[in-house]
Amino acid sequence: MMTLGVLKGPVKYAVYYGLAIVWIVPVIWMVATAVKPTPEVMSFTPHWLPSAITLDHFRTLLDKRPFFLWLFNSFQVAFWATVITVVVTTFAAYSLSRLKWRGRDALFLLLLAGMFIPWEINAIPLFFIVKKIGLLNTFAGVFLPLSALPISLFLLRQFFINLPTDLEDAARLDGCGHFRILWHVIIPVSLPAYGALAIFIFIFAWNEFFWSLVALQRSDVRTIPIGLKTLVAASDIQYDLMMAGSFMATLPALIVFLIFRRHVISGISMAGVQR
Amino acid sequence: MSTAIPSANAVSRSGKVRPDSTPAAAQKRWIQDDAVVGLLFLLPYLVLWGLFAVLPIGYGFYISLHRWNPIGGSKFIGFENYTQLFAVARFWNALKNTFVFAGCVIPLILGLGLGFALLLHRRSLRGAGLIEGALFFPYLLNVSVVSILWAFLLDPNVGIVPYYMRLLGLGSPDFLNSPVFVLPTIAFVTAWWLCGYRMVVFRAGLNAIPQELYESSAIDGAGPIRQFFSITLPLMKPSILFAAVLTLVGGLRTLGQVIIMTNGGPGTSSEVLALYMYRLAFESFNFGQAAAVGFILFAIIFVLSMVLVRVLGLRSELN
Amino acid sequence: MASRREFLQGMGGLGLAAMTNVLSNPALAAPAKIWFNTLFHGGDADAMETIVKKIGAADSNIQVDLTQGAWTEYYAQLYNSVVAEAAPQLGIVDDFRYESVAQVLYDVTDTPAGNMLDRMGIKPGDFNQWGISLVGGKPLGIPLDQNGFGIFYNKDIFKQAGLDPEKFPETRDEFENACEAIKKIGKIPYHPALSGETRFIRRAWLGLLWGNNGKFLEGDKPAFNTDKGREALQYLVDGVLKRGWNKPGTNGNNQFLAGELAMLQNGTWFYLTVEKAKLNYGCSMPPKFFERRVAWGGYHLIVLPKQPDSKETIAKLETTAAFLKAFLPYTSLWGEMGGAVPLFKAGIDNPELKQTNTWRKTLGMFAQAAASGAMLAEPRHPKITDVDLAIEPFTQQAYNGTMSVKDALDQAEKAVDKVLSAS
Repeated sequence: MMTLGVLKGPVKYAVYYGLAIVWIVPVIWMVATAVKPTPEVMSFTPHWLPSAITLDHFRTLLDKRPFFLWLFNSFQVAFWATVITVVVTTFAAYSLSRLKWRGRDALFLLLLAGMFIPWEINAIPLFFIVKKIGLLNTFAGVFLPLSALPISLFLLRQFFINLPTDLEDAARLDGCGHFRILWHVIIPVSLPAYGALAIFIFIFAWNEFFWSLVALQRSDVRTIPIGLKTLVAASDIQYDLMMAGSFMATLPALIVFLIFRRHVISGISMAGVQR
Repeated sequence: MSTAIPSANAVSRSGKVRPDSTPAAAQKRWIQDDAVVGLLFLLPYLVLWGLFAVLPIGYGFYISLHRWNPIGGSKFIGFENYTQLFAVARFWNALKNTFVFAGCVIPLILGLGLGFALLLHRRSLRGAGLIEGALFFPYLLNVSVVSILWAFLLDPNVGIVPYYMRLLGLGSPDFLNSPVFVLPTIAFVTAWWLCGYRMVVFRAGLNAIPQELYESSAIDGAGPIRQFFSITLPLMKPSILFAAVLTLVGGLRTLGQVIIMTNGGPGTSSEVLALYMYRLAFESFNFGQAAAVGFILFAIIFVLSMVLVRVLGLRSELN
Repeated sequence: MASRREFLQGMGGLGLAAMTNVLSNPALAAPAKIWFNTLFHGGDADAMETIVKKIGAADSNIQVDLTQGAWTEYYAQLYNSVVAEAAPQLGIVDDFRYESVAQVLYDVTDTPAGNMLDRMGIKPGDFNQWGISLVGGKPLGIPLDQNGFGIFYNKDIFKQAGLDPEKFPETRDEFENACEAIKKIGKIPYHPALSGETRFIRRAWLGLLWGNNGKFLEGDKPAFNTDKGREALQYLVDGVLKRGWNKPGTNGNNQFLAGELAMLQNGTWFYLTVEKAKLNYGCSMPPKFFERRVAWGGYHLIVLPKQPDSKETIAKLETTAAFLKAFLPYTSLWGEMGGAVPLFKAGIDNPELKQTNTWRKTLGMFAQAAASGAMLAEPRHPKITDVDLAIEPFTQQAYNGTMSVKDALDQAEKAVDKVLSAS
């Protein structure tokens, strides 16, 4: 552990808080720009404090683009991705950790190798596959592939494996079938893992870009990342509106984060580290 | 690990031991049942994963062997898409850019992630949680927001980064419009965005190192630098390497930041393979060749990561 | 215990219901409605929205779902929507992208609902430049407008620099002197390429190439790697690298709207944006940099993407024909609000159009340029899109100063050769 003995007291605080502020300055600048009058936004010298707070950019942007539709679409994709992930992965992880059958662990390793398959790179063939199924331009076409990510499997399976078996064994002796064991024993105990999984997948699906770009091309099914992309290089959208749009897109995450900061971070921490 | 034989005190809730639930009978039932149930439970995941992650690989290869015309009349042309690609300088340029980008992004993300994690590790600081939050927050942003924001920040006319650099007399390079600076710049923006995740993961890893190791080495007279190199680094090595491989995979398949910040520019200096593939498919409508690029990229990423996992001995990370 | 089961069942039912809602196609509502997807934004989009509303108000049988979107995604979206058998009934294309999506468009005289022109009650002669709608001899679209570049200039900056704000430079010397005067008062003289994007730089070069009497393509071969081509590109590049008129990597639109830029090359569509910014501006054709005063131009066409075989299709196409017929009287409004030159003769010849602010400020000038052939479009070729995409990286690098003009055009020529010879 590095004890930087030099940094004590106010110097230490200055360095740490300074670092945090510098790191977050881009976000602050985004917020400031979103409420600044246009001439100050486009000025060649930066204006840190807006001379007047204007909500015009938000109004104009909402007028020009179906921003709330994008938000709603993103929410649908993220929500269903999370729900289906939880359901599908629960059964899969249970099978790979609590049930005993030959080849179980080998198959798990194989499925894990999937972590290294960049599935969006296969966007072209996937496009045609999804088209054949008839799911092009639907949210299912996007959240279904997101519901079977190896990392979700990894997270849950590792968690399940480390659970003590006592309650389960008792339940089995009682004659409980697998469903009841899952529902009554495993799931209630695994809520922290589910929390972590839900947070991770929700964020992941909310921010998904590449596949959404290919699969959701109709303008009424666009999600936030794609909608924002259309703002760039649009001849009627300048930086002021782009920052307003970015701010609106970030607001949900910002609010959730300010309230649930510790939970989000510990959830992510759990999702990334499973020993 | 689940056990096949119930522990001796696993008795039913009513206090009785059922006649047909003796250990032997139970074990037999489990061995019989588990395979069928096991595969059944796995089925939904396998179907989804197989359909959306595995099938496209084979189908993509199939498409790449054709002049693919989705309106009708695809012609089989064997490996012609591939030979055409290998003869085009733009393909090799995209390949080079992809690796240059990955090469920039990996040390940045890992360095920043580890650096921040170390800075925050066991530090008694009021508001440490807030600082961690500030460093982590960019991870929650959308790739589009990050790209739009930084394109604005780096704009030569109205961006604050070039402005302050000029003010400090440093002179500001054309970040997004210079063939030399564009890829490192996008890499830095990517690191700003994603290092928060690595920081959190590394922090958990650091917390897992027993404090006693440091204490006993301090007693032996080891300073912080020695402690870092002889305790922290070796113990963190597996997770750092694992993170490196995952970051490599992510870096090689980057598309979002590039397409929004520069669209491959200036010229094709930041055109990475994923972008080249996208443009072949959706600007030139040459789906066969795009699928070929996709297959090549997939093969590179998969083979490279498998080789690295084996060579670096990271199998344990997966278990 | 029981409540949990019920809860689960309830959730499952709800989930299933929501899922089916989610799985079904969100947008297309009642079957009688048609879907019109355009690539417009800004003034063009406002114009189209106004027109569509008016048509719907006048005839309730014509209900149109109008979506307008970003240019960069548009063509992929158009193509893929036909592939997905869920295409709009009406779309808009630029002439230089037209042929790349030709296979997904109907011949307007031969749709499942018959001959659209007959249904609309018009004939080719009712349009100026009907020929631009022909691909392989077949009309795959209906001409809407001619648009193109001009130079918008800030009259206030001109005054400040001691230049006559009502007289835009007509010769190269006048232009260069004006730039020097503008530099002296600390403003940015000229941006040749709108927001600075790659395709705009190429188009700026094309304007200079044609002004120099150079050629772009000759049949199936590149013809731009000549002295004339090099001269044109060198002039463009010198502007930003030697003469200090601007810098590479900058966004001219931002500079102009911020009041820092004196002259900006932008398109007919810029009218509404610059009006909204309340700048004191003028608009003119570029000066005679070389042999003639010309600028890059293009056309917009209304197209009918291919539809799946079904009864619905015919009904929708009939509504489409009715819509198009009702659209014809609004072509002048299109010019007035969107800034481009309508190609429907009755539209451009409409005397009311000449009374509008648009005509006075920009459109009159553009209409005259169009009529006199000063707005030049890219040559028609099935692969023109790929040719453009092949050249752009090189003109961009020359503009940035990272490649010499000679190298840029040599490499561009090679790339175009490859594109044109690939089958």
